[in-house]
Amino acid sequence: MNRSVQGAGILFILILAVMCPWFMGKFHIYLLTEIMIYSMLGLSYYLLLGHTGLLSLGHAAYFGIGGYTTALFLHGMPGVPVSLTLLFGAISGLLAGFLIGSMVLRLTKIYFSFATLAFGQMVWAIAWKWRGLTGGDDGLTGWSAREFVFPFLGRFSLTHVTFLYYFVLLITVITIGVCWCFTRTPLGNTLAAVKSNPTRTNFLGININAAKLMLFGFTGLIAGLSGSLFILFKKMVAPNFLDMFMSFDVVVMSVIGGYSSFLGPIVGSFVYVYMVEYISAVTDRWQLIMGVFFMLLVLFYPKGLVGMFKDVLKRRIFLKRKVCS
Amino acid sequence: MTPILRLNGVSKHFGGIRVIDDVNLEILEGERHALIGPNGAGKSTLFNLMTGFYSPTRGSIHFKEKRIDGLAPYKIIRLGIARSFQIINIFKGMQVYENIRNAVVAKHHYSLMFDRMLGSLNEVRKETEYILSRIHLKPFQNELAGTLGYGQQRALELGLTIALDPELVLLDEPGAGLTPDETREIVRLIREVTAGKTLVIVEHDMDVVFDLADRISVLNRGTILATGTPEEIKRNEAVKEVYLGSLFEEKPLWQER
Repeated sequence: MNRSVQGAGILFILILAVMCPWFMGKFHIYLLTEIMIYSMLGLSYYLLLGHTGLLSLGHAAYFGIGGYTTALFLHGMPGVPVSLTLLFGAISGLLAGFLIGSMVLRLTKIYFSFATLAFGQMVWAIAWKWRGLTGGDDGLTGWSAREFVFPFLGRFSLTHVTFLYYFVLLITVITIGVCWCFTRTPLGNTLAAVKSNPTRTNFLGININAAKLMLFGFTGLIAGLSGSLFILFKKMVAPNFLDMFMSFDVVVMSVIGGYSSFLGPIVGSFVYVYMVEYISAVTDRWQLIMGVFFMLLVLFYPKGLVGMFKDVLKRRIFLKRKVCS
Repeated sequence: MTPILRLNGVSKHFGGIRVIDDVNLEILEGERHALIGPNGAGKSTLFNLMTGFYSPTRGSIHFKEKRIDGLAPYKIIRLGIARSFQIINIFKGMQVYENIRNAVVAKHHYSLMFDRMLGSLNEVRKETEYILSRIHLKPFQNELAGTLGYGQQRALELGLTIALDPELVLLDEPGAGLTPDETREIVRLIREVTAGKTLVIVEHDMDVVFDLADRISVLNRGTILATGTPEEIKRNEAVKEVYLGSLFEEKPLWQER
């Protein structure tokens, strides 16, 4: 694919996304908002797994920490503007990324994965047990009366579905752009080198643990921001926002879309959310069907849907060339 | 001349096995120093000690009067030492151009920078192209490194090492597995790209060693048997016995029969 085709594709999707609320029902707008939030979470996960090759099993921790931080400010400090609480959520994700990263990054391979799982569960246990702060299994809620206040634009209620859709769309587009740029900075390139050959990277005089720690901070920031948006969207926060099943959902979405491609988590979250929505409307056993679908994909297309699409495209071009010659 | 690298009573034990035993070695500034010895003598282990892959059980290593044993590899590399590997160790899944660029970015200490795009760093691009032309891999710059021929991968391995522009270059069997023609080519290349630098080279091909080296150290069972000029080493009785013997006999064994 050349650049102009790519650019046209991106522009088309953007225009489509802006126009969605004009011809789609509230139900779909609601789902699309959820998909965009999951996309951001999945994208931060792509940077870890697909770009750097770090299999983290506790990624929901940053998501939940961002969510709880925002919820605590919304819940306990009515004076703080809503947009500022989002910023606090993102920063808390960043700090959590640095903190957990500094402890798990001395490990590699499966030990690393299990350490991240352990820290994820630890964060979940805190959210579950510390009733005084987090509300325990009831979670926190009760801020739906809060409003976004923008200079010049006016006030918007948090319960306004279309407003929230546009707000999340804006942040998602910015996040995707920032993540894309990140992979093209020297640091992003270094992380790709770490995935390709960590020993050689080290023997080029690069402190790979520092690079990974910075990555942890960055993915924590993005995940924290998406968690903050998620609780605005759900109008509550509960411990199941950061339990291990949430972490596994992120992995499943990434694998469905293709964990090693940038677009993978975005496509993956789209397919995942819609599949769950429609299958669970038909049967309570939706997890069984999702499980079979997931296994088939892993067995026959480990590169995911984006990988499948790329292969099909390559084959088409190959066939065309054959016809020409 | 002053020593650029000094090993003082260095030992390395793995469990009860003394792989390196009380090695004293001085590498002089600007010289080409070859490290030879039979298989298992500890040549690669010595390299791994010099670059921080292992830290010595006893003894000290100084690089330009700074103690480096026990430092992390990346810190040692940053002081001005670079190494190649006996088994090819390149970024196989990345393009040849990207391979060299990784090293150039590292040399400029840009590796952790995230406020600028990699493509906007002009000096990095220029330097990468320069290194590529020096190792004669420019025509292959867009190929994946893993798809290169073996000899070209050896050249790339060398390129990754010299792209760091180190003062001290450590080459671990740069000619391993090459044909005689390719070996001649890589020796010419090594001579060319290490001009003005200090070189320590491990090599089994004696033609290469005696052709290239100013001084030679012979390692056997973890100790230095002898250090000297190629002529001295050729004449050394102890060295003949353990290593060179069969190579420098007046008559090959099969003629005596």
